[in-house]
Amino acid sequence: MNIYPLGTTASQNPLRVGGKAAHLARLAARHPVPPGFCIGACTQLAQPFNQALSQAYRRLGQRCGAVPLAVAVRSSAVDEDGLQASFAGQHESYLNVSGEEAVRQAVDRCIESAQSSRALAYRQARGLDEHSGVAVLVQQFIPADVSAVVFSADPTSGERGCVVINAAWGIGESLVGGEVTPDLYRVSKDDLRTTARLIADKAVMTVACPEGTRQVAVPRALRREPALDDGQIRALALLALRLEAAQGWAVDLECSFYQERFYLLQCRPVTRLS
Amino acid sequence: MTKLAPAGTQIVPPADFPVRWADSADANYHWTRDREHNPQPITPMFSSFAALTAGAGRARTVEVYGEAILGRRDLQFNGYNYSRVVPFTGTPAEMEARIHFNREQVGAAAFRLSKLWEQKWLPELQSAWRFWQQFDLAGASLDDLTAHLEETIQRSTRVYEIHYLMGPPIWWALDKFAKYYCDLFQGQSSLDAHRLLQGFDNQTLRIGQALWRLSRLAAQNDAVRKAIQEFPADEIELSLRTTPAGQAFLSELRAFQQGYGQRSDLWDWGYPSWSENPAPIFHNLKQYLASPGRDPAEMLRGAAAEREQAIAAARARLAGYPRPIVERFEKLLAAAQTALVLSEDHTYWIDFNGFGWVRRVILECGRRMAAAERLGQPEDVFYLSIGELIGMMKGSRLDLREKTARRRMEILHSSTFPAPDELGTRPERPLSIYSADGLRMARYLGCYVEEALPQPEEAGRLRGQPGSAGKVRGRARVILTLADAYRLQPGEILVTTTTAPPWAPLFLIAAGLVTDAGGLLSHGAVVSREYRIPAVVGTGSATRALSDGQLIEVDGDGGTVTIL
Repeated sequence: MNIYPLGTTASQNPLRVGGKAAHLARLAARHPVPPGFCIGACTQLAQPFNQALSQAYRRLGQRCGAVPLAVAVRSSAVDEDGLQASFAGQHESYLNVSGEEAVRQAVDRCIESAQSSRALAYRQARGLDEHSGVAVLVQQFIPADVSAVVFSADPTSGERGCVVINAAWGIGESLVGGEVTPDLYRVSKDDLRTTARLIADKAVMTVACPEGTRQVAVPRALRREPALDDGQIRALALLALRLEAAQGWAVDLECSFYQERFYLLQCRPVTRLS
Repeated sequence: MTKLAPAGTQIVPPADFPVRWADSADANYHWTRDREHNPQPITPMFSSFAALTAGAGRARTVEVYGEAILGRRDLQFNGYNYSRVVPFTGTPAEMEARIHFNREQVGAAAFRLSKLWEQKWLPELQSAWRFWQQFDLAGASLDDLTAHLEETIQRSTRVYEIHYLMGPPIWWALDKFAKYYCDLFQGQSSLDAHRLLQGFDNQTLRIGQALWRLSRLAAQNDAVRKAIQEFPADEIELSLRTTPAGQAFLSELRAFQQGYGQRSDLWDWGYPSWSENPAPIFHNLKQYLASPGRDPAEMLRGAAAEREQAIAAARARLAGYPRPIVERFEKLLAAAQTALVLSEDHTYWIDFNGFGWVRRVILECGRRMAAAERLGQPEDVFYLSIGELIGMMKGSRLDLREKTARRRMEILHSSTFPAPDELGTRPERPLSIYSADGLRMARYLGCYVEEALPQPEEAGRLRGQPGSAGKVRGRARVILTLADAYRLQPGEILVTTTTAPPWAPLFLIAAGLVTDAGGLLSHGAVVSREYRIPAVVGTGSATRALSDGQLIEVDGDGGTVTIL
C-alpha cells in the first residue's frame, strides 16, 4: 500500500513521499497542518490503487466532517524543498477538488505533470536526477480568508534579526504567484514588536468557486484595509521563530487563516540566503 | 478694497425672466434651481419657514458628521428658488482629517441605522406628531395659537435636525453598498445592486396600497363606482353624500385622509393638502377603476421574490470568498436595506405628513387673520413670510392684504413659463464634494459637480440616468402637476419634472417613467423599481423635449429615451 496518512512515520520519509510532504508530515505532529495523506513516489495508477485512493479520500472526509470533502492535490518531488533549490510553483496543484472521480483525475495529472517539459527543464538545469519520482499530497482544502508568507529572515537583505510577513486577502495563489502586492509587516525578533507596517493596495485575490479557484477583484472598500491584525502578526512571528529554532535554518512559511483558525500549509528553507 | 470676483462664465437670463440682485456680489456666485424638490415656484411661507427651521436644524448636524457642505444660501427670483452651497474648504491636511472624520462618523451611524431609527428618531417624531395632534387649533385663543406657532417652529427645527441626522448615513449606506456590489461582481450595475434592496414595504407603498383598497371598495358598489367615474373630481364628494353606500364610502375616505391626507403634491406645503382638496385622491380612484389590473400588494410580493433570488445568487457566488469580504457584504446589505426603507419613510414622518401638521397650524393662523380682515382669505397666509405672520399674530397693524394677493398672482403667473436652471456665474471648475450626502445634495440642487457633466446631445434621443431596469415602448404623457394627472392613461409613459412620494399611486397606471430631475436614489426611481416599471431619471429636459402622444422607447438600463 502506497498511501500514507500525514503524521504516520512512513509519511515523514522524503524518499517515499517527497520533501514537501515529508516536512509537512513532521510538522503535522505539532502544528495545525490541514489533515491529508501522501501517495508514494512509485505508485502505479492501477485499479486496486484507485480503490485505495477512494477509501483514503473518504476517510479524510469523515475525519474532517465533510463528505465530499474539498481537497488540495499537489505534487511533491522526492528531492524538492531541499536546501539547494525551491521547487515552488514548478509542479501542478489542484485546489478545491471535490468528489472521488475529480480527486483521482487530479492525482493522475499531478503525476503526469512531473514529466512535463517545464519541470524537467528545471530539474536538468539544476543538475537533479530527471528520473526522480513524484509523490502526491492530498490535503483538506482551506478556503482562506487571509493568506500569509512568513520569512524568519529578510529574504532580500539577508538580515536575520527580523521576521518579514507578506499578507493578502483570500487563498494564497495570488500572493504566491505575485499577482497581488501584499501588505508587508516586519517584526523584530528581539521583542516581537512590529517595526514596519506597509498596507498595500491589494487589488486582487483568489477565491474558491465551483470550478476550483479563480482570481477576482477586491472591493475598493477593503483593498487598503490591513489583512492581518496585531494578534495574527504576533502569532505568525512566534511560529516563524519556533520553526527556525526547530529546523536549524531560516524558514519560509505559507500560512492561512480561515474562520478564526490558523493553518500551516508549507515550511521550507529560505533559499538564496547568504 | 473690492473682493475678487470668482472666475467663470456669466449667465444671461432669458428676457422674460428679469433678475435683480439685491446684493450685486451675489451675481458672482453660481445659483441653481432644485428641480427635484421644487420644480414649481415656491411659496414665501414654505421658503421662509424652511430657511429658519431647516437651516438651523441642518447646521446642528454638520459638525456631528463633518459634512462636506457647511450650508446653503437661497434667493428667490420670480417665485422660483435658487440656491448655492457653501462647501468646507481647508488645507490639504485639514481636508484629509475632515474626510476621515466624516467617513468614521457616518459609517458608524449607517451600521446602527435601524437601532437609531427605532429607539431614538421615530419615538421623537411620534412625540412631535402627538404635540400637534393634541392641540385644539380651532378652540385655542389667539395668544395660545401664537405660542403654539412659536413652539411649532422650535419642534420643526428639531424635526429637521433628525432629518439631517438621517440623511448622511442613509445615502452613505446606499452608495457604499452599490459600489461594493459592483466591485464584487464585475459587469453588474447599480440597478442590479438595488435589486437586493427592493420589495420591502414602506410608507410610500402603504399609501399606494390603501388607495388601491379604496378603489376596490368603490368597485363593489355601482352607485359609488358611477359617482367616481362619471362626475368631475370636485363634484364627486357631493354626489356620494346622496346615497347610503356613498356615505359609507366617504367615511372610508375620511379614514384614508386621517392617515395619509396631510400631504401636498410636492414638498412645498404652501399648496393644499389631500385632506383639504381630495381631487388627487379621486383622480387616482378614477384611474384605478378604469384599469384595476395591478394589485400593489402582489407587486410588492413579486419585487420581494426577485430580491430574495438576487440575494441568494450573490451569496452563492460569495460562498468561497474570504470571510471579511462576505461579512462586509452582509453588513452593507443590511444597512442599505434599512436605508432604502428609511429614505421613503422619513419623507412620510417628516417632509410630507410630518410637515402637514405645520400647514394646519399656519392655515389656522390664516383663518384667524382672515376673520379679523387682515388677510383677504385664509390661504393667503402662505404668501406671507413666517416673520410677517408672527408679527401679524403679535399685533402689528401692517396691512398685507394687497401684498399677499399680489404675491399669489405673481407666483401663479411665474408657474406658467419655465425658469432658467442657473443664474449668476458658472465657475470654471466643478465643485469637489467628498461625502455621499453632500454630493447628493449638490446634485439635486443642480450644482456644477464633477460627475454631472452634460451628456452629448443626439437627435431623437434623450440621455438621463438609469432609474429602474427594463425597456418599454409607449405614448408619452407630459404631466407637470398632480392636478393634471387624470390625463395619464393606462400603458402610457409618465413624463414629468420630478416625482414626490404622493405621485407614487400613478406608477400603478404608467408603463414607464421619465423625469427631468433626480437620480438613482430619487423617490421616482425607488418606487419605479418597487413597481418594476422602466424609468429614466435626470434627463434635464424631457418635459420640454417630449410632447403628449409621442411614441417613445424608455431604456431603463441604458438611461436613454428614444423618440420613435
